[in-house]
Amino acid sequence: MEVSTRDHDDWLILEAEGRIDSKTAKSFETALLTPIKEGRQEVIVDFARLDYISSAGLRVLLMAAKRLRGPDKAFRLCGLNANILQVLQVSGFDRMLSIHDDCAAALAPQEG
Amino acid sequence: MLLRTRLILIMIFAFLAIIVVLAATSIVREDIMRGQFGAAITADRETLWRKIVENSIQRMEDKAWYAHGDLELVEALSNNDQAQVIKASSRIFGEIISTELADRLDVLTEDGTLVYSSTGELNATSIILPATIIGTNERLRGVGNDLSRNVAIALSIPIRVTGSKDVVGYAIFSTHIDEALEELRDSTDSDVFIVNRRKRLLASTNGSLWEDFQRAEAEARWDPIAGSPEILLEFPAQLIRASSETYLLSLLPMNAELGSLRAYLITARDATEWANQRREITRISTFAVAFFVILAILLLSWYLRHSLAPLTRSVSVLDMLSRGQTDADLELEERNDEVGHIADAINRLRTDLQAFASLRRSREKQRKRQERYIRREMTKLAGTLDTADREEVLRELHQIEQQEFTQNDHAHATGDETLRSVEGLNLMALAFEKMRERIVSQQGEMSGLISELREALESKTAYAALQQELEIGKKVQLSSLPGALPESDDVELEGIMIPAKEVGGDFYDYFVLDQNRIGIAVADVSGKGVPAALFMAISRTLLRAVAPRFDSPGACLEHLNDLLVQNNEEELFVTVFYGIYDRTSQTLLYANGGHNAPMMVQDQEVSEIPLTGGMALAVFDGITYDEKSVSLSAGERLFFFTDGITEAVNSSGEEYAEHRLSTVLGRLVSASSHETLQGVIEDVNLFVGNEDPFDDMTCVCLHQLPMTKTEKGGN
Repeated sequence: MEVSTRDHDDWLILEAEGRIDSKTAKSFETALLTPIKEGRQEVIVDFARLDYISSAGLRVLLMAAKRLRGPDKAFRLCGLNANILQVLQVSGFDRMLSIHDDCAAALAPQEG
Repeated sequence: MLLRTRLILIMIFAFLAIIVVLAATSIVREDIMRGQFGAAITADRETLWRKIVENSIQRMEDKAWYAHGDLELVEALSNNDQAQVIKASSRIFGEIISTELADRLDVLTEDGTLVYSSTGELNATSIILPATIIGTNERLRGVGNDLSRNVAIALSIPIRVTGSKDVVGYAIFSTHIDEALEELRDSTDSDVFIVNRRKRLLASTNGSLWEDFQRAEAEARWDPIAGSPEILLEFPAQLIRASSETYLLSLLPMNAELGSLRAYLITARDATEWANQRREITRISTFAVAFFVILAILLLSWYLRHSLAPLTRSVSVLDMLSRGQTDADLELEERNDEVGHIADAINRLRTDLQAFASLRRSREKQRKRQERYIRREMTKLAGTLDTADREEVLRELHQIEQQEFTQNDHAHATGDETLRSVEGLNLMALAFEKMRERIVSQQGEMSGLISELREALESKTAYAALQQELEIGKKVQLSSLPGALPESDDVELEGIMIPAKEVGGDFYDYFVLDQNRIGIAVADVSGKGVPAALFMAISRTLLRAVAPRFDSPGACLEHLNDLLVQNNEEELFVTVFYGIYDRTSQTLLYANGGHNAPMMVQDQEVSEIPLTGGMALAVFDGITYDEKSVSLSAGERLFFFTDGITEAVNSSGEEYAEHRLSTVLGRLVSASSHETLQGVIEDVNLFVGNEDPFDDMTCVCLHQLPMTKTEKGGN
C-alpha cells in the first residue's frame, strides 16, 4: 500500500494505492492523521487506485472524519470503487462521510 | 682501451722518446765531434800548409843570391837595359831550373814594370802584384798570383847595387802552387783545391774531382751523412757527397796576400769509407734498436698478457658471479702477487655466493611452503565469512596465486628472486590484512547480532509467554461463547467461531430473553489483536447486560452505541447485528449496525435479508437504529455471519464472496444447523486451501425446524 500526497490550494489530497488491511492500516493511519494533527484542516482522500479497505482502514477514516468535524474543516472521499462503496454503505458510514465521484468533484465547493 | 694496450703504448712511447733523445744527442755530438775533428784537421792542414809554403820559400831564399848576387842583372837593372835584363834573367832562370829551387822567375824594374817573365807569355803579369812590391825594400814572401790566374809561392828579392841601398829592381822567384799542393796532398792523403770566392777552381791536384763536387752541388741531393752538397765556404770542415763517395772537406782561407785573389784552400779527403762505415753502423744500430724495441714490446706484451690473463679471467668470473652464475670456476696456479690475491678472493667470494644462493633457494622453498600453508588456512577461514566477503577473499587469493606464477616466470628471466618473494609477501600481507578487517567487522556484526539475538530471545520468551496468555485469552474468549441451546422441537440455534491466528474481534451471542424470545447477535469489532479483543469483550458484556431491558432491537442498539462511544479512546468501532426471534410468531425483529446482512435460506432460494441502514456502533453517539422483521417458515433457516466468511481469500487472492456462500447454503438446505455451520466452514476451508485464516470466521445458524408428522397434527 502506498500513500502519496499533494497540495491543491489549501486542500491536502491523499492518494492511497493498493489494499488497506490490518497490515497496512497503521501506515495509512500515520499518513492521514499526522498532517491533520499538524494542522491541515481540509483533506481529500482519493481511493481511485485503492482495491480494498478493511475495517481497520475504515476506523482510520472515521478517526479523520471525527477530527475534521466543524466549521472551516472538511474531510471528503472520492474515487471509491463499487466494493469499497458497498462496505461503506453496509457499515452505514456513507452517511457520515462526504463521498464524491472523483477528485475534481471533491474539490468543488460544497453547499452548506 | 685495455690496460695492457695502454701499458704497451706507454712503453712504445717511452722507447720512442728515448730513441729520439739518444739519436738527437748523438747527432749533436757527432756534429760537434765533426766540427772539432774538422777544426783539428783544418788546423793541422793549416800548419802543414804553412810549413810547405815556408819550405818552398826557404828553398828559394837559400838561393836568393842567384838573383841579387848576379852582377849582370844588377848592372842591367841599374842601367835599365831591358835586353840585358832579359838575357841575365834567362840565364838565372836556367840555373834556377837546374837546381829545382823554383819554376818561375819574374823580374821587375823598380817602378814595377815586368821586364822578364819565365812563362814566356805575351801578356804575362807579375806573380806578385806590382803595387805590393813597389817601394818595398825587404823581401816579400807568400803566395801570389798573376792575372792569368797562376798561383805560386813567391819570394820577391829586391835588387840593389852593391853597396847601395837603392833598389834598382826586383826578382821574384816562384814555385807553382801545384807543387805545394801535391806535397800537401801527399802529406794529407787528400786532394787539394784552391778556389776563389765563386768556387772557381784556380789550382788543384784533381780537377775532375772538383767538377764532381760542382755537379753534386748542382744536383743538390741531400745525403743523410753529408747533408746538403752545397759547399759552404764558412765552415772549416764539412762533408759532401759526390759521385757516390763522401769527402771530408777542410777549408783554409788563404789569402794570396801577395796577389790580388782572395782564395780558399780546400783539402778533400775521401771519407767514403768512413761514411760508409758510419752508415753501416747507423743502419745496424737502427735495426738493432728497432729489433730490440719491437722484441721488448712483444715480450712485454706477451708477458703482460700472460701475467694479466689470470686477472682477465678473474674479471670474467666476477662478471658471471655478479650475474648470479655461481658455477664459474677460477682455476689458477698459485701466485703470490696481486693477481694471485685477487684470484683467491674471487674464489672465496664464489664459494660464499654459492652457499648464499643455496641458502636462498632453501629459504625460498620454505617461504613458499609457508605461503601455501597460509593460503590454505586463509581459504578455510574465508569459509567462515559470509558469501560476498568470502568470494572477495577467495578472488584475492586466486589473484595472488596468478601473480606469483607470472612473477615466477619474470623472476626466472631476470634472476631477481628476492623481488618476487617480497612482492608476493606484500600481496599476501595485504590480502591477509583485508581478511582480518573483514573478520573483525564480521565479528563486530556478530556481536551485534548476538546481542540482538539475546534480546530477540528474551522477546521471544516474553512473546511466547504472551502468546500463551493470548491463547488462554482466546480459550477464555471461546469458552465464553454460548453453547448450543438446549434441544427443542421447533428451533435449532447454533453458532461457531473459528478464530484467526491473532486474537480476533468477532463474537456471536444468543440468549433467552423469555419463554418465547431469543436474542441473537453477531458482531465484528474493527481491527484485530488485543485492543479489538478487549473491545469485543466489552461490547459483548454490555450487550448481554443491556439487551434484556429492551424489547426493541433498535433501541437496544441505540443504547449500546451510546455506551460504547464513551471510553472508546482507541476509536474502534463494532458492527452489530442484533435480532429478537419470537418463536411463536416465527419472526425475527432485527436492527443492524453496520453489519453485513444475514442470509435466509428458503427452499432452494438463498437471499440476503434487507438491511436497516444503521451505522456501526461506537463511533458517534445519538444515532438511531431502524428495525425490520422477517419470518421463517418451517424448514427455513437464517444464516448470520461475519465478513471473515465472505472475505476469506485463497492463494490467488480471490475472495470466497457471497455467491459461494449462497451456493453452499443452497446445498445444505436440508441440513441441521450444526451441519450447516460445519458445511459452510468446510467449504470455506476448501476454498481457502493452505492459507491461514486471515480473519475470524463466525457464523450462527437459526433453523426453524420442519414440522414433524406428529406435530402436524398438534399445536
